[in-house]
Amino acid sequence: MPAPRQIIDEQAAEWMLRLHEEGFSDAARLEFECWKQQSPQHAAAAQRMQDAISRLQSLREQSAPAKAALNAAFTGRKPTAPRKHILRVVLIAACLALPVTLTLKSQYPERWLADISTGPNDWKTLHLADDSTLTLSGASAVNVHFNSTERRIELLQGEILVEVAHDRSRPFIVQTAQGTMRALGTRFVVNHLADTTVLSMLQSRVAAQSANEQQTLEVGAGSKALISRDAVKLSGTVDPASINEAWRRHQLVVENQPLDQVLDEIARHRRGHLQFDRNALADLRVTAVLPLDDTDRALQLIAETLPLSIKTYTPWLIVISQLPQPKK
Amino acid sequence: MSSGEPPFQAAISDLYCEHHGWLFGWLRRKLGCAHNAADLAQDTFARILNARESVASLREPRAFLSTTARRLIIDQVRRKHIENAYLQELALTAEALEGYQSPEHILSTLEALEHIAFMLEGLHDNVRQAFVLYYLDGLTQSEIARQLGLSDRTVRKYLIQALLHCSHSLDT
Repeated sequence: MPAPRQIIDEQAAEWMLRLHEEGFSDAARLEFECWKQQSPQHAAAAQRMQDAISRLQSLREQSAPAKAALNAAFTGRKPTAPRKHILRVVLIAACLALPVTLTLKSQYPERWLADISTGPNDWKTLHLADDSTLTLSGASAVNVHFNSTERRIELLQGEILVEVAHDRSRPFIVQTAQGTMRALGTRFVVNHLADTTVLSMLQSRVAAQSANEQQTLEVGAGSKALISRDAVKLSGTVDPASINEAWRRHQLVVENQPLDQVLDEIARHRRGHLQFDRNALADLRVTAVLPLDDTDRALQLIAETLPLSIKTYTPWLIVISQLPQPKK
Repeated sequence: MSSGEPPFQAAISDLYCEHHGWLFGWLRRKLGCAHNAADLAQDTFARILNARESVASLREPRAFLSTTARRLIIDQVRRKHIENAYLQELALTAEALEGYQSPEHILSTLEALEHIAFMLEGLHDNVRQAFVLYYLDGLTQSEIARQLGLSDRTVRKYLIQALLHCSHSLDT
Protein backbone atom coordinates (compact mmCIF):
# COMPACT_ATOMS: atom_id res chain seq x y z
CA MET A 1 0.00 0.00 0.00
CA PRO A 2 1.48 3.36 -0.93
CA ALA A 3 2.30 5.67 1.96
CA PRO A 4 -0.16 8.55 2.38
CA ARG A 5 0.87 11.85 0.86
CA GLN A 6 1.29 13.64 4.19
CA ILE A 7 3.71 11.03 5.47
CA ILE A 8 5.83 11.15 2.33
CA ASP A 9 6.01 14.95 2.59
CA GLU A 10 7.05 14.81 6.24
CA GLN A 11 9.75 12.28 5.49
CA ALA A 12 11.00 14.41 2.60
CA ALA A 13 11.22 17.48 4.85
CA GLU A 14 13.06 15.43 7.44
CA TRP A 15 15.50 14.34 4.75
CA MET A 16 16.17 17.93 3.67
CA LEU A 17 17.19 18.89 7.17
CA ARG A 18 19.19 15.74 7.78
CA LEU A 19 21.22 16.17 4.59
CA HIS A 20 21.97 19.73 5.58
CA GLU A 21 22.86 18.81 9.15
CA GLU A 22 25.15 15.98 8.10
CA GLY A 23 26.98 18.19 5.64
CA PHE A 24 25.72 16.20 2.64
CA SER A 25 27.93 13.27 3.49
CA ASP A 26 28.14 10.45 0.94
CA ALA A 27 26.44 8.05 3.31
CA ALA A 28 23.49 10.35 3.85
CA ARG A 29 23.14 11.04 0.15
CA LEU A 30 23.13 7.39 -0.75
CA GLU A 31 20.47 6.64 1.78
CA PHE A 32 18.40 9.58 0.51
CA GLU A 33 18.64 8.27 -3.07
CA CYS A 34 17.26 4.95 -1.90
CA TRP A 35 14.39 6.68 -0.13
CA LYS A 36 13.53 8.61 -3.30
CA GLN A 37 13.48 5.43 -5.38
CA GLN A 38 10.53 4.05 -3.47
CA SER A 39 7.92 5.68 -5.69
CA PRO A 40 7.39 8.61 -8.06
CA GLN A 41 5.53 10.32 -5.22
CA HIS A 42 8.64 10.15 -3.02
CA ALA A 43 10.79 11.60 -5.78
CA ALA A 44 8.26 14.35 -6.53
CA ALA A 45 7.99 15.35 -2.87
CA ALA A 46 11.77 15.60 -2.61
CA GLN A 47 11.89 17.63 -5.79
CA ARG A 48 9.36 20.18 -4.54
CA MET A 49 11.27 20.72 -1.29
CA GLN A 50 14.52 21.12 -3.14
CA ASP A 51 12.84 23.66 -5.44
CA ALA A 52 11.65 25.67 -2.46
CA ILE A 53 15.09 25.64 -0.88
CA SER A 54 16.95 26.53 -4.04
CA ARG A 55 14.68 29.50 -4.66
CA LEU A 56 16.03 31.00 -1.46
CA GLN A 57 19.57 29.79 -1.88
CA SER A 58 19.82 31.28 -5.36
CA LEU A 59 19.61 34.73 -3.75
CA ARG A 60 22.38 34.08 -1.22
CA GLU A 61 24.86 36.29 -3.02
CA GLN A 62 22.57 39.21 -2.43
CA SER A 63 21.02 38.07 0.82
CA ALA A 64 20.86 41.55 2.37
CA PRO A 65 18.68 43.19 -0.28
CA ALA A 66 16.67 39.98 -0.72
CA LYS A 67 15.94 39.80 2.97
CA ALA A 68 15.03 43.47 3.10
CA ALA A 69 12.59 42.85 0.24
CA LEU A 70 11.00 39.83 1.93
CA ASN A 71 10.67 41.69 5.21
CA ALA A 72 8.97 44.50 3.34
CA ALA A 73 6.60 42.02 1.75
CA PHE A 74 5.42 40.86 5.16
CA THR A 75 5.67 43.90 7.43
CA GLY A 76 2.47 45.54 8.42
CA ARG A 77 0.61 42.50 7.21
CA LYS A 78 -1.71 40.89 9.67
CA PRO A 79 -3.90 37.99 8.70
CA THR A 80 -6.64 39.39 6.53
CA ALA A 81 -9.42 37.53 8.29
CA PRO A 82 -10.59 40.23 10.74
CA ARG A 83 -10.87 42.85 8.02
CA LYS A 84 -12.80 40.50 5.79
CA HIS A 85 -15.16 39.57 8.54
CA ILE A 86 -15.90 43.16 9.29
CA LEU A 87 -16.59 43.64 5.62
CA ARG A 88 -19.01 40.74 5.66
CA VAL A 89 -20.82 42.14 8.64
CA VAL A 90 -21.09 45.52 6.98
CA LEU A 91 -22.37 43.90 3.81
CA ILE A 92 -25.00 41.96 5.65
CA ALA A 93 -25.99 45.05 7.57
CA ALA A 94 -26.19 46.96 4.32
CA CYS A 95 -28.46 44.30 2.84
CA LEU A 96 -30.76 44.57 5.80
CA ALA A 97 -30.74 48.34 5.82
CA LEU A 98 -31.35 48.68 2.11
CA PRO A 99 -35.09 47.97 1.99
CA VAL A 100 -35.66 50.51 4.73
CA THR A 101 -33.76 53.30 3.01
CA LEU A 102 -35.24 52.43 -0.35
CA THR A 103 -38.73 52.57 1.04
CA LEU A 104 -37.99 55.93 2.56
CA LYS A 105 -36.52 57.22 -0.66
CA SER A 106 -39.21 55.91 -2.96
CA GLN A 107 -42.47 57.59 -3.78
CA TYR A 108 -44.39 55.31 -1.47
CA PRO A 109 -45.29 58.10 0.94
CA GLU A 110 -47.15 59.67 -1.94
CA ARG A 111 -49.12 56.51 -2.36
CA TRP A 112 -50.12 56.47 1.28
CA LEU A 113 -51.78 59.85 0.89
CA ALA A 114 -53.57 59.04 -2.38
CA ASP A 115 -57.31 58.40 -2.73
CA ILE A 116 -56.79 55.04 -4.40
CA SER A 117 -53.57 53.05 -4.53
CA THR A 118 -52.16 49.59 -5.11
CA GLY A 119 -49.13 47.86 -3.66
CA PRO A 120 -46.56 46.01 -5.73
CA ASN A 121 -48.08 42.92 -7.30
CA ASP A 122 -51.54 44.24 -6.56
CA TRP A 123 -54.14 45.21 -9.17
CA LYS A 124 -57.38 47.05 -8.62
CA THR A 125 -60.39 47.79 -10.81
CA LEU A 126 -62.91 50.43 -9.77
CA HIS A 127 -66.23 51.53 -11.16
CA LEU A 128 -66.46 55.25 -10.79
CA ALA A 129 -69.64 57.22 -10.08
CA ASP A 130 -70.05 58.21 -13.76
CA ASP A 131 -69.85 54.54 -14.86
CA SER A 132 -66.24 54.86 -16.06
CA THR A 133 -63.84 52.07 -15.15
CA LEU A 134 -60.41 52.61 -13.72
CA THR A 135 -57.81 49.84 -13.37
CA LEU A 136 -54.57 50.37 -11.46
CA SER A 137 -51.62 48.09 -12.02
CA GLY A 138 -48.95 47.45 -9.35
CA ALA A 139 -47.62 50.25 -7.12
CA SER A 140 -49.87 52.88 -8.63
CA ALA A 141 -51.74 55.76 -7.06
CA VAL A 142 -54.43 58.19 -8.13
CA ASN A 143 -56.53 60.98 -6.70
CA VAL A 144 -60.07 61.31 -8.00
CA HIS A 145 -61.61 64.78 -8.39
CA PHE A 146 -65.15 64.67 -9.79
CA ASN A 147 -67.42 67.73 -9.87
CA SER A 148 -70.23 69.10 -12.00
CA THR A 149 -67.93 70.51 -14.72
CA GLU A 150 -65.18 67.87 -15.06
CA ARG A 151 -63.99 64.43 -14.13
CA ARG A 152 -60.31 64.61 -13.25
CA ILE A 153 -58.02 61.73 -12.35
CA GLU A 154 -54.65 62.70 -10.95
CA LEU A 155 -52.13 59.94 -11.66
CA LEU A 156 -49.45 60.25 -8.97
CA GLN A 157 -47.44 57.18 -9.89
CA GLY A 158 -47.65 53.94 -11.80
CA GLU A 159 -49.99 52.99 -14.60
CA ILE A 160 -53.73 53.03 -15.18
CA LEU A 161 -56.15 51.78 -17.77
CA VAL A 162 -59.23 53.97 -18.12
CA GLU A 163 -62.46 53.24 -19.85
CA VAL A 164 -64.29 56.51 -20.03
CA ALA A 165 -68.07 56.51 -19.99
CA HIS A 166 -69.62 59.03 -22.34
CA ASP A 167 -70.59 62.32 -20.76
CA ARG A 168 -70.82 65.25 -23.14
CA SER A 169 -71.12 67.80 -20.37
CA ARG A 170 -68.11 66.72 -18.28
CA PRO A 171 -64.78 66.01 -19.93
CA PHE A 172 -62.70 63.23 -18.47
CA ILE A 173 -59.13 64.36 -17.74
CA VAL A 174 -56.14 62.33 -16.67
CA GLN A 175 -53.42 64.54 -15.23
CA THR A 176 -49.77 63.76 -14.47
CA ALA A 177 -46.81 65.96 -13.60
CA GLN A 178 -45.97 66.06 -17.31
CA GLY A 179 -49.31 66.94 -18.83
CA THR A 180 -53.02 66.22 -19.28
CA MET A 181 -55.11 63.89 -21.45
CA ARG A 182 -58.60 64.98 -22.16
CA ALA A 183 -61.37 62.77 -23.51
CA LEU A 184 -65.07 62.54 -23.84
CA GLY A 185 -65.49 58.82 -24.14
CA THR A 186 -62.68 56.40 -24.84
CA ARG A 187 -60.34 53.75 -23.57
CA PHE A 188 -56.63 54.26 -22.98
CA VAL A 189 -53.63 53.46 -20.79
CA VAL A 190 -51.51 56.06 -19.01
CA ASN A 191 -48.13 55.20 -17.54
CA HIS A 192 -46.46 57.74 -15.29
CA LEU A 193 -42.66 57.28 -15.55
CA ALA A 194 -39.99 59.36 -13.86
CA ASP A 195 -39.95 62.21 -16.35
CA THR A 196 -42.36 61.09 -19.05
CA THR A 197 -45.96 60.04 -19.29
CA VAL A 198 -46.70 57.37 -21.85
CA LEU A 199 -50.18 57.37 -23.36
CA SER A 200 -51.38 54.30 -25.27
CA MET A 201 -54.68 54.78 -27.09
CA LEU A 202 -56.90 51.73 -27.40
CA GLN A 203 -60.07 53.30 -28.70
CA SER A 204 -61.24 56.63 -30.07
CA ARG A 205 -59.05 59.63 -29.30
CA VAL A 206 -57.88 62.07 -26.62
CA ALA A 207 -56.28 65.50 -26.64
CA ALA A 208 -52.90 65.34 -24.89
CA GLN A 209 -51.31 68.51 -23.60
CA SER A 210 -47.91 69.19 -22.06
CA ALA A 211 -47.83 70.59 -18.54
CA ASN A 212 -46.61 73.99 -19.72
CA GLU A 213 -49.65 74.08 -22.05
CA GLN A 214 -47.45 74.86 -25.03
CA GLN A 215 -48.20 71.71 -27.02
CA THR A 216 -51.37 69.82 -27.66
CA LEU A 217 -51.77 66.76 -29.81
CA GLU A 218 -54.71 64.62 -30.74
CA VAL A 219 -53.83 60.98 -30.30
CA GLY A 220 -55.94 58.34 -31.99
CA ALA A 221 -56.52 54.62 -31.40
CA GLY A 222 -53.46 52.45 -31.97
CA SER A 223 -51.04 55.32 -31.33
CA LYS A 224 -48.60 55.89 -28.54
CA ALA A 225 -47.58 59.34 -27.34
CA LEU A 226 -44.87 60.55 -24.98
CA ILE A 227 -45.77 63.53 -22.87
CA SER A 228 -43.15 65.59 -21.11
CA ARG A 229 -43.48 68.92 -19.33
CA ASP A 230 -42.88 70.89 -22.49
CA ALA A 231 -43.69 68.58 -25.38
CA VAL A 232 -46.06 65.93 -26.70
CA LYS A 233 -44.96 63.64 -29.46
CA LEU A 234 -46.12 60.47 -31.12
CA SER A 235 -43.93 57.45 -30.55
CA GLY A 236 -44.87 54.46 -32.65
CA THR A 237 -47.96 52.34 -32.54
CA VAL A 238 -49.61 49.93 -30.14
CA ASP A 239 -51.78 46.92 -30.69
CA PRO A 240 -54.98 47.63 -28.70
CA ALA A 241 -55.98 43.96 -28.66
CA SER A 242 -52.74 42.79 -27.09
CA ILE A 243 -52.79 45.61 -24.54
CA ASN A 244 -56.35 44.73 -23.57
CA GLU A 245 -55.28 41.15 -23.18
CA ALA A 246 -52.18 42.14 -21.24
CA TRP A 247 -54.22 44.13 -18.75
CA ARG A 248 -56.67 41.31 -18.37
CA ARG A 249 -53.88 38.83 -17.70
CA HIS A 250 -51.57 41.17 -15.81
CA GLN A 251 -48.83 41.07 -18.39
CA LEU A 252 -46.24 43.52 -19.55
CA VAL A 253 -46.04 43.64 -23.33
CA VAL A 254 -42.88 45.27 -24.64
CA GLU A 255 -41.60 45.55 -28.14
CA ASN A 256 -38.00 46.53 -28.75
CA GLN A 257 -37.93 48.53 -25.54
CA PRO A 258 -34.72 49.50 -23.70
CA LEU A 259 -33.99 47.02 -20.93
CA ASP A 260 -33.66 49.64 -18.23
CA GLN A 261 -37.23 50.81 -18.85
CA VAL A 262 -38.51 47.25 -18.76
CA LEU A 263 -36.69 46.64 -15.47
CA ASP A 264 -38.23 49.83 -14.07
CA GLU A 265 -41.66 48.44 -14.92
CA ILE A 266 -40.89 45.09 -13.34
CA ALA A 267 -39.44 46.81 -10.28
CA ARG A 268 -42.72 48.63 -9.78
CA HIS A 269 -44.50 45.34 -9.53
CA ARG A 270 -42.38 43.80 -6.83
CA ARG A 271 -41.47 44.44 -3.26
CA GLY A 272 -37.77 44.91 -2.68
CA HIS A 273 -35.26 46.47 -4.95
CA LEU A 274 -33.85 45.71 -8.37
CA GLN A 275 -30.32 47.01 -8.58
CA PHE A 276 -28.83 47.65 -12.01
CA ASP A 277 -26.56 50.05 -13.84
CA ARG A 278 -28.86 52.02 -16.10
CA ASN A 279 -26.13 53.09 -18.52
CA ALA A 280 -24.60 49.66 -18.82
CA LEU A 281 -27.92 48.07 -19.75
CA ALA A 282 -29.39 50.83 -21.90
CA ASP A 283 -28.11 49.26 -25.11
CA LEU A 284 -30.01 46.04 -24.58
CA ARG A 285 -33.53 45.85 -25.93
CA VAL A 286 -36.38 43.58 -25.05
CA THR A 287 -39.33 42.23 -26.95
CA ALA A 288 -41.46 40.06 -24.72
CA VAL A 289 -44.70 39.36 -22.93
CA LEU A 290 -43.85 39.18 -19.25
CA PRO A 291 -45.99 38.05 -16.33
CA LEU A 292 -46.27 40.88 -13.83
CA ASP A 293 -47.87 38.70 -11.19
CA ASP A 294 -44.66 36.65 -11.10
CA THR A 295 -41.77 39.06 -11.47
CA ASP A 296 -39.14 36.43 -10.64
CA ARG A 297 -40.34 34.51 -13.67
CA ALA A 298 -40.36 37.72 -15.72
CA LEU A 299 -36.71 38.38 -14.87
CA GLN A 300 -35.84 34.81 -15.67
CA LEU A 301 -37.51 35.12 -19.08
CA ILE A 302 -35.48 38.24 -19.87
CA ALA A 303 -32.26 36.57 -18.76
CA GLU A 304 -32.95 33.67 -21.10
CA THR A 305 -32.64 35.91 -24.13
CA LEU A 306 -30.08 38.49 -22.97
CA PRO A 307 -26.58 38.03 -21.53
CA LEU A 308 -27.53 38.97 -17.99
CA SER A 309 -26.50 37.82 -14.58
CA ILE A 310 -29.25 37.92 -11.98
CA LYS A 311 -28.12 37.53 -8.39
CA THR A 312 -30.66 37.25 -5.61
CA TYR A 313 -29.20 38.37 -2.29
CA THR A 314 -32.39 38.47 -0.32
CA PRO A 315 -35.98 38.63 -1.57
CA TRP A 316 -35.44 42.34 -1.07
CA LEU A 317 -32.42 42.79 -3.23
CA ILE A 318 -31.75 41.49 -6.72
CA VAL A 319 -28.70 42.68 -8.61
CA ILE A 320 -28.78 42.54 -12.39
CA SER A 321 -25.69 43.06 -14.47
CA GLN A 322 -24.58 42.38 -18.00
CA LEU A 323 -22.33 39.40 -18.52
CA PRO A 324 -19.15 40.36 -20.33
CA GLN A 325 -19.23 39.77 -24.07
CA PRO A 326 -17.13 36.90 -25.33
CA LYS A 327 -13.89 37.91 -26.98
CA LYS A 328 -14.16 37.96 -30.71
CA MET B 1 -23.57 23.82 -21.44
CA SER B 2 -26.39 25.24 -23.48
CA SER B 3 -25.82 25.73 -27.16
CA GLY B 4 -26.51 29.46 -27.00
CA GLU B 5 -23.78 30.08 -24.46
CA PRO B 6 -20.91 32.19 -25.80
CA PRO B 7 -17.63 30.21 -26.05
CA PHE B 8 -15.74 32.29 -23.50
CA GLN B 9 -18.50 31.85 -20.96
CA ALA B 10 -18.60 28.12 -21.65
CA ALA B 11 -14.83 27.84 -21.22
CA ILE B 12 -14.95 29.73 -17.95
CA SER B 13 -17.76 27.66 -16.61
CA ASP B 14 -15.92 24.47 -17.54
CA LEU B 15 -12.82 25.78 -15.80
CA TYR B 16 -14.90 26.68 -12.79
CA CYS B 17 -16.69 23.36 -12.56
CA GLU B 18 -13.57 21.29 -12.96
CA HIS B 19 -11.07 23.24 -10.90
CA HIS B 20 -12.81 25.52 -8.44
CA GLY B 21 -12.90 22.77 -5.84
CA TRP B 22 -9.23 22.09 -6.28
CA LEU B 23 -8.31 25.81 -6.12
CA PHE B 24 -10.35 26.29 -2.96
CA GLY B 25 -8.72 23.27 -1.29
CA TRP B 26 -5.27 24.36 -2.34
CA LEU B 27 -5.78 27.90 -1.05
CA ARG B 28 -7.41 26.76 2.15
CA ARG B 29 -4.42 24.66 3.02
CA LYS B 30 -2.07 27.42 1.99
CA LEU B 31 -3.80 30.22 3.89
CA GLY B 32 -5.06 28.10 6.76
CA CYS B 33 -8.43 29.85 6.59
CA ALA B 34 -11.49 28.63 4.72
CA HIS B 35 -13.05 32.11 4.59
CA ASN B 36 -10.09 33.74 2.96
CA ALA B 37 -9.62 30.78 0.65
CA ALA B 38 -13.23 30.98 -0.52
CA ASP B 39 -12.94 34.72 -1.10
CA LEU B 40 -9.67 34.36 -2.94
CA ALA B 41 -10.91 31.51 -5.12
CA GLN B 42 -13.87 33.68 -6.07
CA ASP B 43 -11.61 36.68 -6.73
CA THR B 44 -9.41 34.50 -8.91
CA PHE B 45 -12.27 33.57 -11.19
CA ALA B 46 -13.53 37.15 -11.15
CA ARG B 47 -10.14 38.33 -12.31
CA ILE B 48 -10.03 35.77 -15.11
CA LEU B 49 -13.53 36.82 -16.16
CA ASN B 50 -12.50 40.46 -16.23
CA ALA B 51 -9.21 39.86 -17.98
CA ARG B 52 -11.06 37.99 -20.71
CA GLU B 53 -7.98 36.02 -21.60
CA SER B 54 -8.65 32.94 -23.62
CA VAL B 55 -9.10 29.99 -21.29
CA ALA B 56 -10.49 27.54 -23.80
CA SER B 57 -7.32 25.57 -24.46
CA LEU B 58 -5.29 25.84 -21.28
CA ARG B 59 -2.75 23.10 -21.11
CA GLU B 60 -2.21 23.45 -17.41
CA PRO B 61 -5.35 24.96 -15.96
CA ARG B 62 -4.22 24.51 -12.37
CA ALA B 63 -0.94 26.30 -12.93
CA PHE B 64 -2.89 29.08 -14.61
CA LEU B 65 -5.30 29.36 -11.67
CA SER B 66 -2.56 29.29 -9.06
CA THR B 67 -0.59 31.96 -10.91
CA THR B 68 -3.67 34.14 -11.05
CA ALA B 69 -4.24 33.59 -7.33
CA ARG B 70 -0.58 34.42 -6.67
CA ARG B 71 -0.96 37.73 -8.46
CA LEU B 72 -3.88 38.49 -6.19
CA ILE B 73 -2.03 37.62 -2.99
CA ILE B 74 1.17 39.37 -3.97
CA ASP B 75 -0.66 42.31 -5.43
CA GLN B 76 0.72 45.50 -6.93
CA VAL B 77 1.11 47.20 -3.58
CA ARG B 78 3.19 44.38 -2.20
CA ARG B 79 5.23 44.10 -5.37
CA LYS B 80 6.00 47.78 -5.00
CA HIS B 81 7.08 47.26 -1.36
CA ILE B 82 9.32 44.39 -2.41
CA GLU B 83 10.84 46.41 -5.23
CA ASN B 84 11.47 49.53 -3.14
CA ALA B 85 13.07 47.66 -0.26
CA TYR B 86 15.22 45.61 -2.60
CA LEU B 87 16.47 48.59 -4.59
CA GLN B 88 17.15 50.65 -1.48
CA GLU B 89 19.20 47.94 0.11
CA LEU B 90 20.91 47.16 -3.17
CA ALA B 91 22.07 50.79 -3.42
CA LEU B 92 23.61 50.50 0.05
CA THR B 93 25.52 47.33 -0.78
CA ALA B 94 26.23 48.22 -4.39
CA GLU B 95 29.99 47.86 -4.19
CA ALA B 96 29.80 44.39 -2.76
CA LEU B 97 27.39 43.33 -5.44
CA GLU B 98 29.21 44.00 -8.67
CA GLY B 99 27.32 42.33 -11.48
CA TYR B 100 23.95 42.29 -9.74
CA GLN B 101 22.80 45.60 -11.05
CA SER B 102 21.89 45.15 -14.69
CA PRO B 103 18.21 45.90 -15.30
CA GLU B 104 17.63 42.32 -16.51
CA HIS B 105 19.15 40.89 -13.39
CA ILE B 106 17.19 43.18 -11.11
CA LEU B 107 14.00 42.26 -12.90
CA SER B 108 14.58 38.54 -12.61
CA THR B 109 15.51 38.88 -8.94
CA LEU B 110 12.33 40.83 -8.25
CA GLU B 111 10.34 38.12 -9.96
CA ALA B 112 12.06 35.45 -7.88
CA LEU B 113 11.35 37.44 -4.72
CA GLU B 114 7.70 37.70 -5.66
CA HIS B 115 7.51 33.92 -6.03
CA ILE B 116 9.23 33.40 -2.72
CA ALA B 117 6.91 35.86 -0.99
CA PHE B 118 3.95 33.90 -2.32
CA MET B 119 5.51 30.62 -1.25
CA LEU B 120 5.99 32.00 2.27
CA GLU B 121 2.52 33.53 2.46
CA GLY B 122 0.49 31.90 5.21
CA LEU B 123 3.45 31.04 7.46
CA HIS B 124 3.69 32.45 10.96
CA ASP B 125 6.28 35.21 11.40
CA ASN B 126 8.78 33.16 13.40
CA VAL B 127 8.47 30.14 11.13
CA ARG B 128 9.08 32.28 8.08
CA GLN B 129 12.04 34.05 9.64
CA ALA B 130 13.67 30.82 10.75
CA PHE B 131 13.31 29.43 7.24
CA VAL B 132 14.80 32.56 5.61
CA LEU B 133 17.67 32.73 8.08
CA TYR B 134 18.50 29.07 7.51
CA TYR B 135 18.41 28.90 3.72
CA LEU B 136 19.03 32.48 2.62
CA ASP B 137 21.47 33.69 5.28
CA GLY B 138 22.94 30.26 5.93
CA LEU B 139 22.80 30.52 9.72
CA THR B 140 22.91 27.35 11.81
CA GLN B 141 19.89 26.19 13.73
CA SER B 142 21.38 27.24 17.08
CA GLU B 143 22.29 30.69 15.73
CA ILE B 144 18.69 31.08 14.62
CA ALA B 145 17.45 29.85 18.00
CA ARG B 146 19.51 32.53 19.75
CA GLN B 147 18.45 35.26 17.35
CA LEU B 148 14.76 34.50 17.63
CA GLY B 149 14.85 33.54 21.31
CA LEU B 150 13.63 29.99 20.67
CA SER B 151 14.85 26.54 21.60
CA ASP B 152 16.88 24.53 19.06
CA ARG B 153 14.12 21.96 18.97
CA THR B 154 11.51 24.58 18.10
CA VAL B 155 13.65 25.96 15.31
CA ARG B 156 13.96 22.52 13.77
CA LYS B 157 10.21 21.98 14.09
CA TYR B 158 9.62 25.33 12.39
CA LEU B 159 11.93 24.44 9.53
CA ILE B 160 9.99 21.23 8.90
CA GLN B 161 6.73 23.19 8.97
CA ALA B 162 8.08 25.73 6.51
CA LEU B 163 9.31 23.04 4.13
CA LEU B 164 5.91 21.35 4.13
CA HIS B 165 4.17 24.66 3.55
CA CYS B 166 6.42 25.74 0.70
CA SER B 167 6.24 22.35 -0.97
CA HIS B 168 2.46 22.56 -0.88
CA SER B 169 2.58 26.03 -2.44
CA LEU B 170 4.63 24.70 -5.31
CA ASP B 171 2.34 21.75 -5.86
CA THR B 172 0.02 22.82 -8.66
